Amino acid sequence: VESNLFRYAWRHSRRAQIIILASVLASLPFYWMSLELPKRIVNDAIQGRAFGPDKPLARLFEIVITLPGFLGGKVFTISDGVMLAQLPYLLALSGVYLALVLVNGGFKYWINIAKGMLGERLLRRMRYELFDRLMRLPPDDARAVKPAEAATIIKDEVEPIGGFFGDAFVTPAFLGTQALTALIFIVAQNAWLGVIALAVISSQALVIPRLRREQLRLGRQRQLESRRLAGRISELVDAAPVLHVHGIGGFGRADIGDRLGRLFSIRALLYRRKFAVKYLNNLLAQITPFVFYTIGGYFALRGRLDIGQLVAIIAAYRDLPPPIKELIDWDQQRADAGVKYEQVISQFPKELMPPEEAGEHAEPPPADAPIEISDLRVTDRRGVVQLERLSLTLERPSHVALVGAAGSGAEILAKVLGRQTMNYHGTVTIGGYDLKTVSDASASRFLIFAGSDPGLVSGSMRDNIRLVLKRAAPEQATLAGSALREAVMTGNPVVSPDDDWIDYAGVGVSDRQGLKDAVTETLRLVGGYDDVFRLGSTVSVGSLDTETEERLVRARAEIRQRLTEAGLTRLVEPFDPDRYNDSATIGENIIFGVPTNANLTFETLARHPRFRALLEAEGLTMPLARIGIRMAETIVEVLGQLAPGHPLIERFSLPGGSDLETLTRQLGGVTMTDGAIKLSDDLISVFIGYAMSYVEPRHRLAVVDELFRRRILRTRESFRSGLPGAYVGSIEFYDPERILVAAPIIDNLLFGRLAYGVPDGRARVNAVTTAAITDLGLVPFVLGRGLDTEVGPGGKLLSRRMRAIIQVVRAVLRRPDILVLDGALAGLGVQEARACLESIRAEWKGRTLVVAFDDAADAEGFDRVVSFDGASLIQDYSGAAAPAAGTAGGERRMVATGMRR
Amino acid sequence: MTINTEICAMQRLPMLRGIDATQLKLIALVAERVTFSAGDVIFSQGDASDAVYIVLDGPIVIRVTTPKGETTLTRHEGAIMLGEVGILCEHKRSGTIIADGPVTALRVGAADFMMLVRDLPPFAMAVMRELARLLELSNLKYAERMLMAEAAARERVH
Repeated sequence: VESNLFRYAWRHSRRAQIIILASVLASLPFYWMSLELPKRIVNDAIQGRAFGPDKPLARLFEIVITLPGFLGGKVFTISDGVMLAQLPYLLALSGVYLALVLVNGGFKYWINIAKGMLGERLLRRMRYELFDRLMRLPPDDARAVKPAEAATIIKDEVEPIGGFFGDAFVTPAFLGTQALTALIFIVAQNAWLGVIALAVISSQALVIPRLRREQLRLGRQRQLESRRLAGRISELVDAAPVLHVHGIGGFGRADIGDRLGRLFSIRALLYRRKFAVKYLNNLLAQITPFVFYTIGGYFALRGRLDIGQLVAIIAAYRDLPPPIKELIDWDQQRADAGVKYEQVISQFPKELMPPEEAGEHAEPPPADAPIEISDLRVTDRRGVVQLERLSLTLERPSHVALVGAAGSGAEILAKVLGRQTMNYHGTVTIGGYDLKTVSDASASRFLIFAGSDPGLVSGSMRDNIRLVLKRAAPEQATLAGSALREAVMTGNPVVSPDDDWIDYAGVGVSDRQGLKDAVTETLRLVGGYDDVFRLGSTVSVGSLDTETEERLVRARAEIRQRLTEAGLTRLVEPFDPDRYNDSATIGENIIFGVPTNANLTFETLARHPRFRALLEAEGLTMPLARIGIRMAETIVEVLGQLAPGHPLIERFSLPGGSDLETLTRQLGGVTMTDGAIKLSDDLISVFIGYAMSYVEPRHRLAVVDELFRRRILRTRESFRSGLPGAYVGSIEFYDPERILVAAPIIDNLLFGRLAYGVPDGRARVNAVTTAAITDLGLVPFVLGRGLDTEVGPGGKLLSRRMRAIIQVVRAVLRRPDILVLDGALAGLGVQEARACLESIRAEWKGRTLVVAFDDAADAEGFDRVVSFDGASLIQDYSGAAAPAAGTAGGERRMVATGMRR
Repeated sequence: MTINTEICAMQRLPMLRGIDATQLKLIALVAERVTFSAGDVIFSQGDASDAVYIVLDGPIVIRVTTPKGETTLTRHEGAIMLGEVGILCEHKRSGTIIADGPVTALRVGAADFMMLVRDLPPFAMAVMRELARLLELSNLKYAERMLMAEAAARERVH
């Protein structure tokens, strides 16, 4: 990127700028003519100077070219024009004037559009280049960037620069020549008035920029301050949980409030300046006509100036201040944009990673080329040594364990090998590739690092997994038409992100289906298959093709039959229209279906007068309210002993997410008089809402008896037949022959609720359902629904475990020659992490695996174990199983700190 | 069985004494009540340790498989906590538990169990007490076996 704004603009938009300049020049004669014409209209046509008593007709539109004297002074008459009487003469001239107005307007229109396009193109190029640089920041620098600030720079701060690009050359040329034309015109009419006009303009041009200098300084300050505000807000949003935990939200608010205050005072100062300058500008602009009227009028009265000239001068002068003002504006913009440009450019350090070459296909190093680490030394930004000088040769293929506490040399070395830090001295090479200089595209062909941060983006799990495979850029431009032209013109990529970027060959498959299978297989390998499958079975069915729907209905019957055969029917309590389902909530038993409308909840239902009338008809109002009260009492009693914010409180919270305080307050509204409960109608609704989530075997308050069941069943009946109008279509009722798209897949398959109180019931039922799903070929469907689950921004919607699994799947999917794991398995439980690593090790036979461990015990069985204490290497041990290391029987070397070279 | 009757049952367990009714209610609320009939396997050796069972009532048999074969370790009647060792040490199940008659138990998931241990000190004490009792028991058994072995050795010498 050029260090100077004008050079940048000239370099990338030379052609367009020249074209625009040329059209500006082309417009000038017309402009001059539009100034000249009023004079002729007034003098010749209206005052009739072209006519005389003996001259009823005047010649118009004659075109005569007179060659200058040195060319012989010949006169060519191209057209004789026409002879017109006074009125037609006036009309013809006015017509020409109108045409000139249109032509001038047309020029202005075309130039403005061309300018705008040019500016937008340069803006697009610049934004893209900035983003490209952001992506090429060395990893250490990239981590230091605040995302919100980077976004502000690319999105907002370059905006005014882009607006200026279009004006950079054209405006001074256009307005300058226009003002000059007008000025010359005035001077040509009357030298004195010209001098006056010039004086006023030059005072405007000299004084106002001075006044504006302060305005500029404030503007710059405002830019910095608002960029910091954006950064701070995003930091505070990220830190929100900490703010809550420590109760320091007030401080955060004060901080933002203070920054807003600073922004305000800068703005206030800016406004004062801005309008003071505006006032002065207006004053100067309006004083000049005063001068013209008085002095020009005086000349006219004295006969030294004719009226036509005066009118033309005033018309020309009316056109003069706007260009001058705009020129001054342009000058300010120039300074402003220049400063902004320099500030934006300076955000990016000079040292960047090599640019990515499209379609780079460097051969990966041979699988047995060792990793050569020579004179490696790592210090952090403050100069603290993180890794003492170290030279090692790691034979390949082999499994290498780096052992050391968090932050020790083990972690640092893993980061160096994984290309997560470039801030080191010495070199690390693999078969001729220097890890520092090799491009991402080449390195990622054989080397993948997985750290503790999964780096998920919003989208589904599938999107996140596929993202890391989008390596195969289309080889030819895939954009077409104007999109392609524009992309080429602005140095943007000519390939569309909507193309199939998936590097199928890298995964060793040939198509979409193959990739699906590979993902499934990798999920199995790292131990996440069951999780995704389970997740898939708990998400709602969603839209279906008829074939899948049929298969789901068939699976439902199949599962029922298999459960019967296995004698497990008691484990699932089916949804039977004529029976109360003890394992379901009271609410579910009443509506006997699934709401398709998110606004339809048990709380809203409990407030609905129609619904309440149904309950009242069965005499259920007070019994349900009492159940709600007892549930609330139990929860307040039991959870009151836990610290606020305890996860259990969340788990047992009643529908509507009431916290303990609310519950206590609500219970306080209940009074007992003579054994009768008294409470407001509003509270009745609240407690009925709670009671809707009651499940007998779970809450165990012994409230569901035969009579109660019958009443609920009758309510179910009347609810279904008399669904409140507002809710028609918002509920899918359970129907053994139909799939409920709003219900989870598993509910659709079981078509009932798991019975409580049967040990391992879930596992046994799962085994049966999984077998049935597999036999009916529904596995890809369920798994697919699991993979379709949203991960949320940064993966926030997923468990830590799931995030870790996706991270590992991403790393393992392409089976890179070298896999570096540093804390990638930390999100899994201890046992699972061990199992996962074991499968990865088995899979990585003949490939190289580098794993950082805290504990030497975990490194058992690795070919090579390199241990660190702090920044120093303390032990380098080649195990017996290290064929590549060439040390039979295992060799243990104690290494003095920093002495091994 | 309501939550209150469960609490009464739990109050009868010597192991859970010192835990007041509200705290027992919390345990009962977190737990799932499960029943087994004679011959049901409560959990098997080698399974992942996913839950603790607080047996409220009923007889159980503990069996262990060693490389030399399978053996019944002990039979127990009445209240006992099962499976906490595996969760505390993140190990797999070290033995198989079989119901030897109708058994009523509270099943507490591993994560919930750890949470109760952390957040209910009296519960943590109860778990500790139970572990200490087991340790003492196995010490006694070990001592007995040593004495028997010594006696046998002495007989062989004579």
